[in-house]
Amino acid sequence: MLLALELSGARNTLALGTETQIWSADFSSQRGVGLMAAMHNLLAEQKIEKSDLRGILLGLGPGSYTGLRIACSAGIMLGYSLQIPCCGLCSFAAAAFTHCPPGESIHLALNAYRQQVYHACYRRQESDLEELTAPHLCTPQEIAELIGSNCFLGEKKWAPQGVVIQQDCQAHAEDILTYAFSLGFHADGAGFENGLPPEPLYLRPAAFRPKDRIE
Amino acid sequence: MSFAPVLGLESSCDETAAALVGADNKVLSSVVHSQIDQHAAWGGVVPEIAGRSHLRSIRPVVEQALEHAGLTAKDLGGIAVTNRPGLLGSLLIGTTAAKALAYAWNLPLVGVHHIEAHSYAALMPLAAPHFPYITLIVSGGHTSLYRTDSPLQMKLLGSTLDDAAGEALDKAAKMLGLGYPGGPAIQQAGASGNPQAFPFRLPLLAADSLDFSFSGLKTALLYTIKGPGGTTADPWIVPHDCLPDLCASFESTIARTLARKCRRACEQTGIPRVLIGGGVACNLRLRQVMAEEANKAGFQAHFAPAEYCTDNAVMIAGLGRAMFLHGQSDDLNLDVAASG
Repeated sequence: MLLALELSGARNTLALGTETQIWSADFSSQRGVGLMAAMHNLLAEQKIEKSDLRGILLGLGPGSYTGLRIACSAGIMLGYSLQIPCCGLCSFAAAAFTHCPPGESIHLALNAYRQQVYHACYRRQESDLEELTAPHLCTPQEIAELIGSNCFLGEKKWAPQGVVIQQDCQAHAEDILTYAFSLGFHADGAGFENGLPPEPLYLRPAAFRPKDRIE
Repeated sequence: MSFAPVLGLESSCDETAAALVGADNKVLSSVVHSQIDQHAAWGGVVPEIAGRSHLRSIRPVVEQALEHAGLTAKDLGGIAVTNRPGLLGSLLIGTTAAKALAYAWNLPLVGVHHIEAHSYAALMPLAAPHFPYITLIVSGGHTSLYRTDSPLQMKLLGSTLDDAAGEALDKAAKMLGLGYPGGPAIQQAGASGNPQAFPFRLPLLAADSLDFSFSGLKTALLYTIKGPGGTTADPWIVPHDCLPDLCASFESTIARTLARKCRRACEQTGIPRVLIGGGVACNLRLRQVMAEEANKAGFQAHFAPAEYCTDNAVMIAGLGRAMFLHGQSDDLNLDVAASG
């Protein structure tokens, strides 16, 4: 049994699952602080013991650094205390895997604030996902040009006219699990060598310039 | 009273710390990962840098704390964690980590107030605390006076209206071309200086006020070195070899202000005992000035041990243990707060 946590945006979700069955919960109304209680509740509802968990998967963003760090802190310490592996996957890739029709490519764009947008592009070939453009920061003005006439996940205001739009580009924890199983992760805890270290995808520097004045 | 050792976690600002405290407040281990080097280039704590560092350090410091104490999860009685006040992003990392451990190990959890924990650090060495106390918490983020009736009962008497004392020292150090953090840099640069060379006025406010204000003192330092109305870009009007005297005088003014306010609080409340904690409580001149003031005015001054003045998890585990003994605990919905 694997646990997945996805807190990269406004929607906070977690999921439990195997290759054949996934249960999930949305605890957005409790914000990130509700994560552990939501996890406890989902395990209890499904009558799953925490000792049944064999690994933890984290959506690493791009997205809200605060939410991502809550997920990472929980995942790292649960992995340590339950002695199970913990790793991360790109949330954009997981969303693209879920939403992109086979044989097509898809662009994702998420508001990064400060007049910037997180963007990435993927192509789906049956059960494989190819990263065409890695997650990066760009301006809202650049987005329409990047998207062209391809499928798009993101806010309508960034899409060129006539493009197929699904406005919610944030991955669900269920997407993280589904994508993980496609990459060779197994419910028994195998495959964790395929994941990323449990740290948010930091696409911005931590600080821009030294303060040069005394306030 | 018996209670198994408590694991404390601290991540409210720029230190990631874990510690284990057992019976009679015995410190079984204490691990602190300081981020000072990472923030030094910015002259202060950058929240995003702090958040990134806490996430990388939280597991190693917990592992080390348990290893140094020779304990495992089954030896623990509970988990205590700082959940207020502090940088929200930083608090969330420690609090989430603590909840994960409490959940996985089936241990009780308690959220600890960072300022109350600093006060507790000064109480921990006392064999038989004699309540009530006046408590001065003085650090880079806080300068406040409290009446402490028990480890879990503190009433605010006064606090800073602008800069905390440690913040004023940081900004003065920057003004004087010294390093970060400012307190130790000014202490070192002013060690051989004359504290009366530059007679800065003590910012004592109204005669009965227990509040603090250090922004005017900071401006007085600026005008002393750059001339009246001077700016940070202006050249010095005093010789640069005055630096030790400037540092000693500025540091002494802050120390004497803090000591006088403690005396005032003792006189107003009739409580002749003072606890002093927080990062600035490490300052040697403050310790000396406070001892002189206590001797003159007839109150006792109890400083937290120097190693537990700056942020640490010993004080969190210690106070958390006291809270568990009083039947207090929190559930997995424990929230964080920037203030309060």
